[in-house]
Amino acid sequence: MPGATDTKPTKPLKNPCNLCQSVRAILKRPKTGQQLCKECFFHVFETEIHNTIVDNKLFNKGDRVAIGASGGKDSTVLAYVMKLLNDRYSYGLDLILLSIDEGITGYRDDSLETVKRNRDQYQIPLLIVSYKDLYGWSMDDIVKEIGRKNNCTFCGVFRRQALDRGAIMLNVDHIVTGHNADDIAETVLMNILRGDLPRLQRCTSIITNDTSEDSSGIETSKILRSKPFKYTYEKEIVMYAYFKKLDYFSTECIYSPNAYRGHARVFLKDLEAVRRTAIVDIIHSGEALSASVQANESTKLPTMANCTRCGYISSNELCKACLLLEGLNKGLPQLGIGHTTKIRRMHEAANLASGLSSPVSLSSAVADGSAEEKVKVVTHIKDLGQLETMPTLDSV
Amino acid sequence: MSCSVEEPTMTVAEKRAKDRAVHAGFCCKCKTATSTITVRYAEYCNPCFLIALDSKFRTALRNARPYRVITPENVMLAFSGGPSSRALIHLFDVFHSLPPEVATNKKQPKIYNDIHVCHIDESCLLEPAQDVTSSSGSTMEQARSIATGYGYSFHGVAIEDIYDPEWTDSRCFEAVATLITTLRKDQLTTSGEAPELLSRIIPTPATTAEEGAPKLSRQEKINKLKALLGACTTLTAKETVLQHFRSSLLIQLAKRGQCTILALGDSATRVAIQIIELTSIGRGYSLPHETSLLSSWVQDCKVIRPLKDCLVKELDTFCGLNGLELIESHHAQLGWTMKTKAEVKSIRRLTDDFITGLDKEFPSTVATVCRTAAKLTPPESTYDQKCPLCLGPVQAGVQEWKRRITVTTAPGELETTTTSNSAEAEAKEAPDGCCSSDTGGCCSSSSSSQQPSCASPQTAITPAA
Repeated sequence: MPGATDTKPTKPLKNPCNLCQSVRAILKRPKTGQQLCKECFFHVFETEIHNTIVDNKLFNKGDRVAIGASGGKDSTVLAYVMKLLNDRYSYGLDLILLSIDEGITGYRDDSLETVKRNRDQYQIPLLIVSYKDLYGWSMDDIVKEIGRKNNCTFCGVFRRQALDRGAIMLNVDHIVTGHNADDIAETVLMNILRGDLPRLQRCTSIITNDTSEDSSGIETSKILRSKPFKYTYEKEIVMYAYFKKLDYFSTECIYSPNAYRGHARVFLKDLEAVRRTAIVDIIHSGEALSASVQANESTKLPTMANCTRCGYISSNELCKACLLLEGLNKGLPQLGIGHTTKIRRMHEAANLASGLSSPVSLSSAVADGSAEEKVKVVTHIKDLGQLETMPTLDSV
Repeated sequence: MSCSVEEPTMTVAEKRAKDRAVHAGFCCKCKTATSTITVRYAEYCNPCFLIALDSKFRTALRNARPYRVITPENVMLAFSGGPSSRALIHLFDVFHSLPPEVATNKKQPKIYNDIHVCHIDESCLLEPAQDVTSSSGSTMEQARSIATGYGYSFHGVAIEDIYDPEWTDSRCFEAVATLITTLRKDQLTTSGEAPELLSRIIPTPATTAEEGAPKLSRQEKINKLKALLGACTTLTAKETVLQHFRSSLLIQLAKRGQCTILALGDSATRVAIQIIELTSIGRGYSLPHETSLLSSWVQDCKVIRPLKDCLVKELDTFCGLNGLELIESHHAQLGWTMKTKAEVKSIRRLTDDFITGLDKEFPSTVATVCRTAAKLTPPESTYDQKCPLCLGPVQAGVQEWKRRITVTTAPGELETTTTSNSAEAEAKEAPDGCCSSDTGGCCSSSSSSQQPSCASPQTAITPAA
């Protein structure tokens, strides 16, 4: 360490780093309030993520891991850190960037440019899956159809499935996403405020889709999802990106604002200002609460099955994405939002009235769906062909 | 990730409000009288409101303790002087006084044997410089006259008596005070000290306490308490410490009054705020015990919260309608202990504002939060292993957990030091047991700073500024 104290013992270093004591501190760590130098900050930041990965046994050697990349700060730092740790600690992972193109002009198109630059900077192959290709609707089209209210429902449901589909195309074992500690703490609060016990139980687990129970027949469930940034503060991610001069895209989604969650976010930031450990404290509480829920019999999850139309994991006959899609395609966008059963019934009645019995329409839709599906997959296989020409990690 | 998929859906209460709209302006119960009170979409006239509140209380009481009990027990009502606990006394009185014909006719077994009322006098913390000798600000006499008005026996204690050897089992509050006031500020705020500090707070067995402890004068005790609060650097820490003092004293009071039940006047609003607050300070582990209708955690003393279904607004109205006298300014004011403006906010105050604000926009918030927590099962842990400070259950492995997710070592000195530390930390943790909580290990509270004892792991590091 280049220490000023060595050369000039008479003049003690002004404001030394709390950890190494030999370099001047240049930042105050949001998580602890310690004053650190850049190198020590990088060290603790990366080591904490490494500990999280190791302690939770997130990966096996040789796993193919997709990084959910939006081009925003979280996923950019995630991609950078995953590559760095993979090299430093020889996890032996095969990393791939996976991006979803929702088709939001002025937001996603720009952020995807960032992801493409990241692909070149980090030499990690990239696959972009678009809503337009998968579902035939981009978010811009959807918002045109249904307006701004509830559009996040479509986007959220579609994205979750799109990520899984992208992962299947890439044949990966694992998807990592950039959810950070702030996001998780906020979700814990939201679930308490909403009284959603099953979600409260699940929201703090670092790996989801960890289906040890009965889901042998369900294809998508084999892909694990995890959040290596579970204990990483959003502020530190921003700081890390800033000091590492990472290239990221920072604009909020133009369709997103949501009142209820907004309240929780503001409250969380206030708490953090009063006591900086509040975020981790909430996650800690969330983990304890989740254990308390577990003991309770009354909160079992619905049994999972496969969607009859697309084969995706679902608790109903039709998965939510197919239901929403059907609503869009038939001009009934309310289908799948709020009290679905009632609208479903109306919808079936309408089908009957038009002379089609609903089973027939359903089966024909299945046929359509699968045919469509094949076409889509073919286009994506083209993308996969391109992938192979990308440099692999070994060659880097 | 910031867009949420679901919005809160319309609750049953909100839907019922629509049906009730037919009777707008009239009481929703009798439908004949003009309504005077509106509570969450429901309109009541005065008599119907009182009946509704009384039956809510009775239902909760029955759920907390079935009527078919074999032996009647003594109950201690905790009375602070505010509207909720004032309503608690009155409701208990109504509940317990049988109409004369029933009382004389039938040898009906009593459900509660004796009712006692207790009060903690916090007047020494009301003002910065109060003359201790004068009892001008004391709330004790007022509380006593209210209790004796009902014919209940009264027990009072002053908050500073927490430093009286008679009132503490373990003298660990003593240790906290010494620790905090003697350490240098920066020592409290640097990281890595938490486990070490925790280990210094060791409950002393009661016997030794009696032998060695000199009797302190009231002024000395007050000074000690004030020094402690002065040494805590955040309002959150001060409030948390005081809360631990209160609950410790209440349990002592109940035990001294030979009561096996301690009834608290926590309203639904209060419980909801507490749930979010405890979550935010990392005490999720002991949360089920601290917010449930009935908690059997404390040995030989059940804690019940029979007003858990009543909103604070309802209880205010109840006190108003019955003309119940309250004690003004009964709650410790901590404003004077704060030196900087930055301290004005605490986690409790933020949570209070948050829940109250949210409840205005989404009136089902309080009820939903309470219902969520009511479904949680308390952790399996025994009272013997309680935290000496907060008396809550101790969660194992907290220090190690914290050490892994908050690295505080320089790049060079990795493995060796950390592992040995952790071993030590673990070893120490067990005996002192800090409170469950969390993250911090112990009583979370302190996290920040101040109270070492509670040093939360995380925290301890904190507020250098």
